Amino acid sequence: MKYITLAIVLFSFTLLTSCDKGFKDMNINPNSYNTPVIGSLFSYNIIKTAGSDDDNTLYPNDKLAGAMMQYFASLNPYQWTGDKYLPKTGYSDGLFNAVFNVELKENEQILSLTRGIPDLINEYAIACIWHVYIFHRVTDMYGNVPYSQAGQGYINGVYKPKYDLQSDIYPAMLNLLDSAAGELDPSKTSFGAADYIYNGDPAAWKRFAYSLMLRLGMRLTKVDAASAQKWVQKAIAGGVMQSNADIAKLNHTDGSELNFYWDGEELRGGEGVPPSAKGLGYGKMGQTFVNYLKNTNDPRLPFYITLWPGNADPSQLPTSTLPGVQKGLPNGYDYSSIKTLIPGWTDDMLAEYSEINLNTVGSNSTPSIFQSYAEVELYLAEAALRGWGPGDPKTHYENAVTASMQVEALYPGGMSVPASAISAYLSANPYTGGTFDQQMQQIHTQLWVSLFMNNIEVYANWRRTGYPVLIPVNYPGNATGGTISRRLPYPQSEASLNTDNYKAAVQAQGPDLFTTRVWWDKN
Amino acid sequence: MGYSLLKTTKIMTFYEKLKTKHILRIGVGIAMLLITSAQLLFADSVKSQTVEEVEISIELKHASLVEAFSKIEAQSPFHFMYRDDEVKNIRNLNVPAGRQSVAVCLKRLLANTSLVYRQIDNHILVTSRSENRNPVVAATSSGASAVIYDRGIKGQVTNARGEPLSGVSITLKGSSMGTSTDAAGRFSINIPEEGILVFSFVGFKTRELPVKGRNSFDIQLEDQTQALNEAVVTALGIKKEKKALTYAVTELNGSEFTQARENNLGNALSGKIAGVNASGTATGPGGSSRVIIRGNGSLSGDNQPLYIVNGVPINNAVQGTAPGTYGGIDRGDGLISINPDDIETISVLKGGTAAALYGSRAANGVILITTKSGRVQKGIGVEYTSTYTQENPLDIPDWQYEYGSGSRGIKPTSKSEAIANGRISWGAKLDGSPVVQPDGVARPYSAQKHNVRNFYNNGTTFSNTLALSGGNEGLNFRFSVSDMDNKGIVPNSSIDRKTFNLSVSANLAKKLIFEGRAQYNIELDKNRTYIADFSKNPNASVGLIATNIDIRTLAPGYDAQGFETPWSDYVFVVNPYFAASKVKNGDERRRFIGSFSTRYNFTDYLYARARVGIDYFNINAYDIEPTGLLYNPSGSMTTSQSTTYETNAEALLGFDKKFGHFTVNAIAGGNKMHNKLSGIDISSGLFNVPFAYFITNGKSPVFTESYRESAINSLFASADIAYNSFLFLNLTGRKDWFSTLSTASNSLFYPSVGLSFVFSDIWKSRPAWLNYGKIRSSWAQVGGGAPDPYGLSLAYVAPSSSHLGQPLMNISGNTIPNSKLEPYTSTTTELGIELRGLNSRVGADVTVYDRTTTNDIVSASVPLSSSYTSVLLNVGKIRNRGIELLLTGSPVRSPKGFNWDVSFNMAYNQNTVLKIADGLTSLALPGAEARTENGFVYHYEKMPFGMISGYKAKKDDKGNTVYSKDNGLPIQSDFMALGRGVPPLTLGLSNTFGYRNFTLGFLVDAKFGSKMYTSTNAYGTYYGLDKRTVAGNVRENGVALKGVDEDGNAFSRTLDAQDYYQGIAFTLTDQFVSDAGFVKLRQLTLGYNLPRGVLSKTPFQSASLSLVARNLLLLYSQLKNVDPESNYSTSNGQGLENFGVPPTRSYGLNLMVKF
Repeated sequence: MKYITLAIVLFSFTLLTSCDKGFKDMNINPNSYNTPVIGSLFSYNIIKTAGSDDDNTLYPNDKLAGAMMQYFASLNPYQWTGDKYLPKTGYSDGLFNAVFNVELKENEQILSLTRGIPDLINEYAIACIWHVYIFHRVTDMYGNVPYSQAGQGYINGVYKPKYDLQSDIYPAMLNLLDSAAGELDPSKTSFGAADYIYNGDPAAWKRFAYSLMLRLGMRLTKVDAASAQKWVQKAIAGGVMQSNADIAKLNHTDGSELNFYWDGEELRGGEGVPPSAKGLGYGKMGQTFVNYLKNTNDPRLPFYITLWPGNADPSQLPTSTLPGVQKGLPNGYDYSSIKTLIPGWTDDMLAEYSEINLNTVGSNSTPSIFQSYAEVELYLAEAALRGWGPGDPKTHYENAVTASMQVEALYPGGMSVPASAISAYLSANPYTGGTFDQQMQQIHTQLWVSLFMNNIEVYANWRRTGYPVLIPVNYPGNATGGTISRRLPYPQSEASLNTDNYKAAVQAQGPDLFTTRVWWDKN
Repeated sequence: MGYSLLKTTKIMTFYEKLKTKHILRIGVGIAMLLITSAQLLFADSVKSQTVEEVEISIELKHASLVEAFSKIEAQSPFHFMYRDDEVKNIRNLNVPAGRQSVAVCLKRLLANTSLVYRQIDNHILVTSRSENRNPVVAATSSGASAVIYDRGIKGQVTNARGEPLSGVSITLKGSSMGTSTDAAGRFSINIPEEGILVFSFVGFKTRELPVKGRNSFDIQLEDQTQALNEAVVTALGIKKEKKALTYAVTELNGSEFTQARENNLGNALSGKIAGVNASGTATGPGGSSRVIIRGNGSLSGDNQPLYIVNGVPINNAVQGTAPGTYGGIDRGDGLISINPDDIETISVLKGGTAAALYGSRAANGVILITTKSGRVQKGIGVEYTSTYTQENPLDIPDWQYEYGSGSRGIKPTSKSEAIANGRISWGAKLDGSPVVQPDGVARPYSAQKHNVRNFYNNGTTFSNTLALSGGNEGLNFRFSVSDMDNKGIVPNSSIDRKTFNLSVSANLAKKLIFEGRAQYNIELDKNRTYIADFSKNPNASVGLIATNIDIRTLAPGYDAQGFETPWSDYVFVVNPYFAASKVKNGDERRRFIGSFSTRYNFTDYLYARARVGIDYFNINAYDIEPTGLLYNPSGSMTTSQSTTYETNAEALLGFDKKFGHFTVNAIAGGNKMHNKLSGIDISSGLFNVPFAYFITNGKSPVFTESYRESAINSLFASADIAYNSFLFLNLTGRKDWFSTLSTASNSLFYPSVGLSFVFSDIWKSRPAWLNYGKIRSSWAQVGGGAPDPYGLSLAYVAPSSSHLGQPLMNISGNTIPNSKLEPYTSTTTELGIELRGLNSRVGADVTVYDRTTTNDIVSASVPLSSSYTSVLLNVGKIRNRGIELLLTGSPVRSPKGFNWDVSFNMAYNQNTVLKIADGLTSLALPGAEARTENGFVYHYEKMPFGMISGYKAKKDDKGNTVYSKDNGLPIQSDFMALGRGVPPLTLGLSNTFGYRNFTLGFLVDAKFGSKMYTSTNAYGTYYGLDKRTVAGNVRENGVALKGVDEDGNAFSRTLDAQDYYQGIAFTLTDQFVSDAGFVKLRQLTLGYNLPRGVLSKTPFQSASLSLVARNLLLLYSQLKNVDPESNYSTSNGQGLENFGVPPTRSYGLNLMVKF
């Protein structure tokens, strides 16, 4: 018995003899990869940039930019705050948080894994172009943001990135596009199928890089026309998109959060216009947009909007998308004040107001379009108008309208605009020329119609050009004194966690308010 | 010794019969639970047959008496006991043939002798007629039965005041002989000339006295609480004399937890121990608790103590998605598995020295839970405890009831307006006129003040425990079965917990002791309530419903199709009835906690012990967002399964010997800890077919796998050296190796030293009033590794689904890894003094301590612009200094039996964050952000741990408030600390009054010095419920504002009250930060013990009935509208609340019987 016990005790001690044996292996997560697959990181990066949740979709694109651009309207003062310029930190923080925490994270990692490796030059250049795509949205929305030190928490141990001036960020982004476009080399390997956008095609990426350069260059017209001209001309010379086949987009399928079109998913959810709400959802189509579509007999109307029975039952779309029955909700009203506008208003009347068509432009399998060919043609129209680019504004304008109508073929729902309808529209709404301002109005009002659901871009373009002409609302308690916001405030977490850099950014830019203008939005 | 052992084969029979009889008694016990009226009937059936009843057929010729006994034994259930020398010479006996009773036969046999017989059960004791002694049957330690002739001993047992104690158990050590005292405290017992008498009684210190030829014992028993030489359980389960301790240990008896109960043991500790800050959460009856000993020692680590059950560390992690900014469910922590009826003692090891032997995880103190075990006793003991309580929700919010639903002073006039204003009370003056409500029905526009009472149910808790125990010198056991059935106040929520607990120890051949303890739990929880956010959380909806709407009009919460009926402006603010009846979640936890140990005593001073402990549990949980939920009309669900286990293998050598004036007690050993969690979560995506709730009905199922594994290996040693029982030196050392750190820096050695001096023992001229005095001091270090594995390098993981056929990969987690992490160190210095005087009727125990953590591993928040949310850094420094005071007294000791005992404890802990990280003077606590996104918890250098932070209104140099020209609202100040979230001052006062068989006890519990950010009040202000929104007629007159504008020009404007209050509700944090001090009547019990006289007519050995109550009264609170204990989180970010489950007052009955 004594020996048995002794044996047990001794055995127990032997378990302790090697005090950290095996600890190194134990501390490696068995459910993780030890080496990254760059292509798979890029696939993920594209998906998350298209939409990671409501932070970079529903909030900035629909409830804020979408409502401020008066595509959407809502009676609910606590939701869709862009309708009434009411402050709501969760909404205004969204894009900032998503860009830096999600969109940038894998992108920075890809850049650091490919930088300086000649064999991976295409992967690096493509990641650079994507880097610019990610960044320009956040700086357009907030102004000065961390750029040179952003996303370096792991790579360089920068825990508190400094904010760069937008006046420095824009040249940096444009230069990066320029160098990346120049580095793309069709003779080298690329992402291949891991690149959802262009299947790794360097030539296609080059067109996208220059198209993006066109967009960014045009952004500078108010603040620095000479630079704008330089970059726009460089972009056109480099070669921009030629057709809808060149569109930068990510296709979606219904499924999990990695598959579906986030805007569509969110709009069919509780904060949008769920079919189950039977027309009483929050996010109605705005009167400004609906009336414009109706007044111009726009054949895109059924593609864009419907009454709720069409959303609940697609077989009813033919009747519920008829232009005559559409009604847009005026911006700036709540459930009580709407009665002062519409005498005899009753609850159920909300169901008579149009909703975004969830079967087409708002479907879960709608593609995320990062930049469309129609947009490129409209910027080319402006370039022509300014004398910076080839062709005449009218042709570019008509190309844009045609492309915008033909693009429906890329969407679910099986809608299309016949050629006859396109030409009917163009003859009913011809490009009339006129003064510079009149032409700008026509080009950029068309951009507003063509780029529906690229609302963040439309909002930036509106701030630059002032078109379309929108009548601001003045709801009690609004944050802007009854003007459409010029930017979004920074998240409070930046003020509390990155205090010194935040303060310096505000010092340089002006108070952290909805009404402060970003650098290129010169008054 | 002069006693003869019976060597007949009857011994086995005796045991078998003993067994049968006890099984019958157990049968009685169980029957009792079912049909109490049948008890006496059963009891009768187990009586032995008498010598008159049993007939034998016998014929003896010239037989010896021993032969005669043997023949009778062969034919009867009896067996004989006698003294050899009195019997062996009696021979030549004759008994004629024939059938006769044993009695008749014995009469013949003993007719001409000096012997007489007596039947005791199945034993026939044969003794000399001349001796006036009673023989007694005893089972000896060798397992044989013996007859021992002896003397009668008489005596009386009294308490320290000389009052008789009835029911004191008196046993002969090492035997099953025993008796108990009568109502006058008197007893008589027959024992051998030699031996040790053990006097024991619940609540009193057990005394052992050698017989040494004495005939009478008049002894006093000391109260447990006053016992000076009491032993307490310390680290590694080693019992030490309390006076030898060099550090503070508090031991609580299990009975403190069995009467008025808490589902979570942690909550039950509140107010009971100086320096222990226990707090519950407002997350429902199955929620977690947070227990902090001597302040928070780590900036971002787990600051809760290590819980050890019978030597086994148990997992106390909060399960589920711990409630944070956007809600979650608190699926309870590990303490919920502990059944109070099984607890023998709880030892709280507060200081570093006390905990040093347990290593890194004991840096925050240790709570040792020892469960009950079997004892050497006669027969099998049956204990039955039953508690039934009812929990009533308290209606705390005190809103304005002047204005009703609506906005800008206007009542709703349509159903959709009523819905849009369902939680908005900025309407018109309540005037009783008919106004449409969210269900479309017009009702009088008048105040509804009892929505809390009307929505919530009264909860009930019914606990039953049956325990069987028994044992002899060789083997003892205890087995218990327990069921706790709780129906929560939130409709349709329930908890059922079954516990099976077995403890067995075997002492084989004296040198080898095996001990095994096993506990198995089955816990089923249904519909735990969602907390902190609005989605699926009925509590927030009940809290915010407009003042004129009766919550019951929202019932049943769904329409004919089963779709949620809307009632407010925001789909995520759930209809509370829909949340309670259609939203479903549940979890099932099966848990095994076991410890198995072997001890071998090489000699009387050297032993070896090997022990293995296991805590293994499995949780299956599901969460259903039902079809028809407004914000997710298709519905979806998730399920999760996880298995967690921790094993600890420990081996040690122990040495215990006296050398002259010195006693040395030393151990050395090692421990190997291995911890592993693996689990899987599956989410369904939206349901394909409505109202069918299973994963594969989802259109996009996604799974995620969770896995973590870590280990700590340790070597440790300790030595306790005592000099003449008044000077004690304690030394420990331990070295840990951590798997979570890089192999270059993964180990740490830390020592401790302590000294205690019982000066009263050698102070010859000490004042007469002083009975006992001791000073103690200690210094200890404890270190710790990184809490989580895989923190050293960046990892890439794959989501379970792909897109368009392409695999995906992403960076795992949001924490920046750090390969250079090292262990941290926590150093504690403590000094204490204990005094008792006036015949031990007053006592004081004061401790001061300093506990400093250096190299703390800080999970520092970084701004999202770094692409991550936190980074692990090895730089923190935090200090806790404090004082603990315990005063005890017995103000009244009346000879008539009225006693009053009082105990007061107080602790003040001053916590200072000395350093966070280079260049980092503040640190956001992860997840500690209120749902308003305007209240936070941060650490700041040179401030206490966990400051509630946010914004005030900005002031100019002259102190004028700065207003915005645009909208007239105050402009936010810089972000700043607004008050500490953890109370530095905790107080507890307990009183016990005893009168004859009645006991009345109550506990008052208070905490002061902290603040709380009340999201409830911020929302209450935003939605026009808070009284400030009507004070001074602001709704009619507006809010007059005066100050300066951004440009420094004079500013004055009158703002509409709704604009003003909605404008500040989520921007001016300080408006909703208030002092959170409180005093609660925590516990009240009124007990009645059945007197001996009554008990003697029942099969019970003891029985008591108590009226019990918990959280009876909020005597004082500095907070309005919310309960001061409505934190929703047990994380380090304390001081945030948001519409928790209302606090409850619980009261009921507790019954305890033993037989």
